[in-house]
Amino acid sequence: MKNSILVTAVFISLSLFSGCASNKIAYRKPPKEDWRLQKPAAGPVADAALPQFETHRLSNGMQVILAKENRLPIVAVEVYVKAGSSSESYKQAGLASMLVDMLTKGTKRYNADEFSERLADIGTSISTDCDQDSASLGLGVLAQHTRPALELMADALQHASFDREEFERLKRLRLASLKKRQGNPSAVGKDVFYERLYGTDHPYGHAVTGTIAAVEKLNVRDLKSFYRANYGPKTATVVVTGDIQTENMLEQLEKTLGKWKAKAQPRATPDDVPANEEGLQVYVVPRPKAPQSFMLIGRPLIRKGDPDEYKLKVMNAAFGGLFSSRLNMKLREELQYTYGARSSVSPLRGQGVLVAGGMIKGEFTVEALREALSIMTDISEKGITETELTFAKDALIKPLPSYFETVEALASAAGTLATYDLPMNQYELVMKQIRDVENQHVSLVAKDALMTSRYTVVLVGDPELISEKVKALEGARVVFLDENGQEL
Amino acid sequence: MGNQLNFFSNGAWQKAKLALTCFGILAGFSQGVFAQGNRTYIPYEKYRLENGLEVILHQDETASTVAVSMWTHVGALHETQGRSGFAHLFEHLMFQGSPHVGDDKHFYYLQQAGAKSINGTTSFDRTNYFEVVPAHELELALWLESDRFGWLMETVDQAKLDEQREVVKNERLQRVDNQPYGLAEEKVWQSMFPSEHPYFGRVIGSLSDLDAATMDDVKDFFGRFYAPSNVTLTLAGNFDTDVAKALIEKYFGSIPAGPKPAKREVPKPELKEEVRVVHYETLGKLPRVQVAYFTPPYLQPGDAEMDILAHILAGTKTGRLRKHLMELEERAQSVQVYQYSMQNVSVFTIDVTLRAGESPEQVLSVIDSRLGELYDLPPEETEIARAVASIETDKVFGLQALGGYGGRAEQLQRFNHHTGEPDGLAADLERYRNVSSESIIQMMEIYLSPKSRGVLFAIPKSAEDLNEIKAGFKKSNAAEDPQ
Repeated sequence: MKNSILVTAVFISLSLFSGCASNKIAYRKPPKEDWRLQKPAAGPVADAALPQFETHRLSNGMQVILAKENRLPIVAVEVYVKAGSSSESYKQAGLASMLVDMLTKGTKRYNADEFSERLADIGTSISTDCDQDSASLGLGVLAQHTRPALELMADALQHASFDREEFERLKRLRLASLKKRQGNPSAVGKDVFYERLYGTDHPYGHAVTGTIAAVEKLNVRDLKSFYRANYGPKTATVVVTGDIQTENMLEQLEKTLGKWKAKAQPRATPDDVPANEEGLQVYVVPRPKAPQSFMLIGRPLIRKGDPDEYKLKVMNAAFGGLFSSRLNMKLREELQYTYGARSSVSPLRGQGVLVAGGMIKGEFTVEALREALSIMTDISEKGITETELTFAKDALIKPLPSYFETVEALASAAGTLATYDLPMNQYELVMKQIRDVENQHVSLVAKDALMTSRYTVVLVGDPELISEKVKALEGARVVFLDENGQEL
Repeated sequence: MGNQLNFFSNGAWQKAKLALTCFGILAGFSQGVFAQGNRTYIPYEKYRLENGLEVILHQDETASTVAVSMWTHVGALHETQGRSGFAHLFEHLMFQGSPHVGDDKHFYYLQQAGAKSINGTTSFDRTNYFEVVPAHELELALWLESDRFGWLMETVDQAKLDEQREVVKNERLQRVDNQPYGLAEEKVWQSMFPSEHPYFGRVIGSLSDLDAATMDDVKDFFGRFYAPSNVTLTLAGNFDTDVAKALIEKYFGSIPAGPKPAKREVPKPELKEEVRVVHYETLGKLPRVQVAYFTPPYLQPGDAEMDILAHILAGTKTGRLRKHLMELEERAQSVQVYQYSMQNVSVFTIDVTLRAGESPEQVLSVIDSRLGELYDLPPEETEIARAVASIETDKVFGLQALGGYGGRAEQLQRFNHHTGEPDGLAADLERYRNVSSESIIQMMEIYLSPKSRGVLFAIPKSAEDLNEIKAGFKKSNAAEDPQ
C-alpha cells in the first residue's frame, strides 16, 4: 500500500558497504596458528548436583513437594492437579482448561477484579496452564510476599466463586481465541493429528483448548461438576520452591490447604491405541497460497515409565531431537527446505506420541516428507552409529543438572514428578537409565518405533503445491480434508 | 542455530528490559553473590586485551556452569540501503564452521560437552552469541568462539553464503510471510520508518536485499564490525579468574586489532501526520488494530514512563484499556501494550486483536478515548505502585540464570552496550522510582500524539475475496495494491 508518510529528517547513507571494490574491504588476515587444530581437553569434572526434592503430606493427604534454593529472596508457588484435557470428553472439549482459568476469576472473598488486584499489589499474577494430563496454577513472588501469595493461591483452589457472568465472559473469550487459532497452521495441523491418531472417543483425541462446538454448549454447572469430580487433596499437589524453610512452609500450607476435604479421585490411565496397521496415512489440510507447509509425522508410542522410554529418547536424539540430529542437518542445512526440523518422544500417563516435523517451504513439502521418511527407515533398519549413540547420550545427560537453575524450573520439574507419580530421585534415575543405553537397545526399539508404515502424516499447506506429488507416495493412503478437518 | 530475531513478541529481551527493583528488597540477604554493598547487584571486573577486545567477568562460585556471551556491537542499525537483513545473515554464517574447528561442529562439540542455550540472535542494535557450558568445559567454548571471531573468513565461501541465504529466507517465511499478521505488522512498521532508516527492514530484511549480498560484503562486514574493539566477551559463572584471564589471552590475544567502527548516528524518524495502513489478511482469522508511536530510546528520559504506562493500560486484568476492550465492551480477543525500546528510537505499541465482526475504526476510537481519559484522570499512586511491583518481581527473577537468552551475562552485556556500566541495575531502578503521574502525562503529551503515529487495520479476507478485491481495484484503476 502506498503511504502518505512524510519524513522531514535527512538520512545520511554511510557507505559501509563498498560494493565490489575489493581494495576497500576492511579485512585483516589473522596469523597462522596450527595449534588451534587441537580441540582443548576438558578440565577436571566437578560434581554437578541435582536438586533435592522433598515430599510431604498435609493432614488431609494432599501431597507437598518442596525444593530449597536460597540464593535470591524469591519463591515460586505452583499447584498441579491431575485434571487435564484427558479428564473431559470430546463433547466437552475445553472444559478442563476453562475450569482452571475460571479459578482465578473471583472467589467467595474477592470478586474477579479484586482478586487480580490483590495479586498485583504483591507484584504478581496467577498464570494457569493445562495439558493432557494435568492442569496447573502458578505464581512467583519476592519472598516477603510468600504468605499472602499462598493465601490467594489456596483461595482460588478451594473457594472459586464460579460467577456466572465471569464464566459467560470467559466462554465468549475462549470462542474468540478458538477462532483466532484457526489462522495458525501448526495449531490446525495438531488438532487434525490428535483427532485422527487417537480417535475422538479417546481421552487424548482432542485439543486441550477444545472445540467451538463443545465450548458453545458449556455452562457453569458443567464446570462445577468437573471441579467436584477432579479437584481435591487426592488429585492435587502443591509445589513451593525457592527461599523457604521446611517446617515453616509446612505450617503455612497446613493452615491454608490442610482443611480441604474434597473427595475427588484420580482418573484411570487412558487406554493404549493401536498404531496404523494398514500403512502410512497422509492427511492434507488446505491453506491456499501458503508459502510454507506445516508438516507433522507421528504415531502413538509409549507411556511414561515404559522400560524403553530412555532407549527411545536416545534414539530420538540421533534422529531429530537436537540441532545436530540427522533430520535437521538434512532438511535445513543440506537441502534448505526449512528453518528447522525436529522430533520428540513425549510419553504421557497414557500412551504419548513420537512426532517429527517443521515448517517446510511449500514447493518442497512432499520432498521433505520423503527425506524424513527415508531417515526413519534407515534408522529403523540399520540403527544408529556408535558415534551417534555416544553423542546422543552425552547431549542428554550432561546438561541435565543445569536445567534446574531457576525456581520456576524447579517447580515445573516437581510438577512432572507429581503428575506422573515419579520418585523424588527421578532425575538421578534418568541419568542412570540413559547411561545404560547400548546401541543394540536402540536398534531393537527403533525397528518398530520408526517403521514408517505405522505413521500418520498431516500436511497443512497449499494444495496446488502438494496434491499431485503426495498422490505419488508409494504405499500411502492420502486423505484430503477441508479447512475444518472434514474429509472431502 | 535457531536464530531468534529479537523483535516484538520475543519476550526475553523485552522482559529483561522491564527491569526494576527497589533497593530494600535485596537488603539483608548476605549470602547471594549480588546483594552486597550499596549499589552492586552483579559484581564484575572489566578490562580490555591489547587488540581491543572488551572482557567482563562475573564470578559465581555456587554455580556448576559458565555462561559465555559474545556481543558484537553491530545490528540492523549499521546496515545500509540495499543490504537490509545483512547483520542477521552474517550471524548465520558464524555457525557454519571456522578453519580449526571444522564445518558443522559448533553445535556438535557444545552439545557433546553438555552445553545448553546454544544460539545467536540479531536485533536492531547488536548481535549476540552465547552458550552455557559445564564449568570444566570453559576452554572448549573459548576455543570455539575465538576461532569464529578470529578466523571465520578463512573458510566462508560462496556455497555457505548461498546455503544460509536460503535458510534465512525460510526463516523469513516462518516468521513473517506464513505468520498470521506477519506481513501486516511489517507493512505498518515500514510505513512509519523511511526506507533509508536502518530499522526499516525489521532485522530480517527483504528477499531482494538478501539476494544481493555478496562475498565481498561478508568480508568487509567482518573486517569492520567484528574487529576485537567492537566485541565484548562476558563470562558469568564458576571459574578461576586468573585461569580465565590466561585462557582468554591465549585464545583471543592474537586476533588482529582493527579500529573501532564509528558510532552510527542516524536521524530519528519523525511523522508529520498519522499513517494508516489497511491490510487484507489471508492468514489471521480475526481483525487486528495496531497503533504505534515513536518514543524515546532505551534508557532515555521517557522510556521508563512508557513502560509504566503500558502496564497501567494492559498489564493486568483491570488495566484501563484491557478492562474496557475485553470486558466492558468485549470488542477484543487480546490487548497488548508495550514499549519496544531501541537505541535510535523506541516504538510504543498498542496491539489489539478484535472479536469477529468488530470494527477497527470503533476500536481505534476506544483506544483514543482511553488515552485521552488519562489527561483528566491521571495515573493513580496504586496503579503506578502495582506496575513498579510487577517490574520489580520480573527483575529479581531475571537475576537467577547465569546466561543463555537472558540472565546475568546478558544483563551485564546490555547495560554495558548502552551505557558503558555493566552493573546498571541500580541506575535502572532509579529511573523507574522517579516515574510519577505527572511525568507520565508529560511524556504522553510529547510522544503520544494522534497526529504522528502509525495505525494498522488488518482485515481478514479469504484468498477468493482478495482476488475479487484486486479485480475491483484494477477496474477502478486504483493505485493501491491490497496485497
